[in-house]
Amino acid sequence: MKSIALKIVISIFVVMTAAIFVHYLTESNQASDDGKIRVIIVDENGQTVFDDDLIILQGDNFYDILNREFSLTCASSSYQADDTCSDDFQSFAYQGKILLGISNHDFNVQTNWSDNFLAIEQYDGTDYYLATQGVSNIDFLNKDRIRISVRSTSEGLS
Amino acid sequence: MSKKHQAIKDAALIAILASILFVQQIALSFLPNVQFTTLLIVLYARVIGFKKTALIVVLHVAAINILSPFGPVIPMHIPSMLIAWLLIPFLLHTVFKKANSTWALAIFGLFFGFLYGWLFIPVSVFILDIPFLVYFYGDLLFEIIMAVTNFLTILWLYEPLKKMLIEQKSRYYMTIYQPKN
Repeated sequence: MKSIALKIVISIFVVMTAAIFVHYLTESNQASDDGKIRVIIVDENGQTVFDDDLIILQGDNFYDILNREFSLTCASSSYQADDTCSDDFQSFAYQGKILLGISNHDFNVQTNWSDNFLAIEQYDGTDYYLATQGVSNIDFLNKDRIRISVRSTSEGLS
Repeated sequence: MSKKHQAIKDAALIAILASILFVQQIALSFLPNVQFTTLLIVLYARVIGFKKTALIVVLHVAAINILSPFGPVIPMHIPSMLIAWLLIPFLLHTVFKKANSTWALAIFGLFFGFLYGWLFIPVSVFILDIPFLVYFYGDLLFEIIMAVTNFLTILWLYEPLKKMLIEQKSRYYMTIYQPKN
């Protein structure tokens, strides 16, 4: 009985400690002020189809910035293409949208999640590196540069 | 029991335990890093030994990467995945050979949650060119989830599952099972 009580107490303690860390690590990244961000979009042939500054409004996340400028295709809950982008992943570890496609009147870049995907890379002043968070939660600042390019899943990320 | 008979029984046991490992991971894969994989590999390592557990791990990694409806991991990560899962039977038969209590194994599972994530760092950093700190920070959330899952599942389920598996194993090999109490 004593052993079970100890197990319960320790289990609650471990879960609560983890919850505090998870809460700290999953803070949402939204623009604290108005500004602009440079976005580069590269298609499946390695061709740059868009390279321009986009407007940031206070409270925007990166998805909001793209959604204002482009027609976006997101993944539905079953990872199928959804032009309405109505599905919002709300698991405690996966939050926000999964971007599968991006287009405007000049270009159309689409991926299907299984064979290819949109790699989102951030520029650190010397080179691009892969973002470790999704389109809704990328950490960005005013005047940052972000590149979105089509990658084949079989080629890996490099 | 003849050697041939024993080998057939071993092969069937390995296949059954590997399929349990595979099915539970697929069934729980909608929850990132929430799984019974660590618990089951710890259990197998303690009950059926290093060699059979290592074979189960090899089958499991192959099955997950070939049959998973969510697709394989990046091919370059497969060796990391294999090494990470093989570390459990290896460590439990070497460094932690004497760690038999539920608490010791639960704490082992807690730390293994982080170790599992860190084993993917070399490929991510040196081959995929992801900056170390960015990757480390990005993966930390998933490591915490896995560590807590490992700790809780081993703490609460290891003992009853161990009892059951020992009993079933004894029946399977047609030896006499004598419970201690």
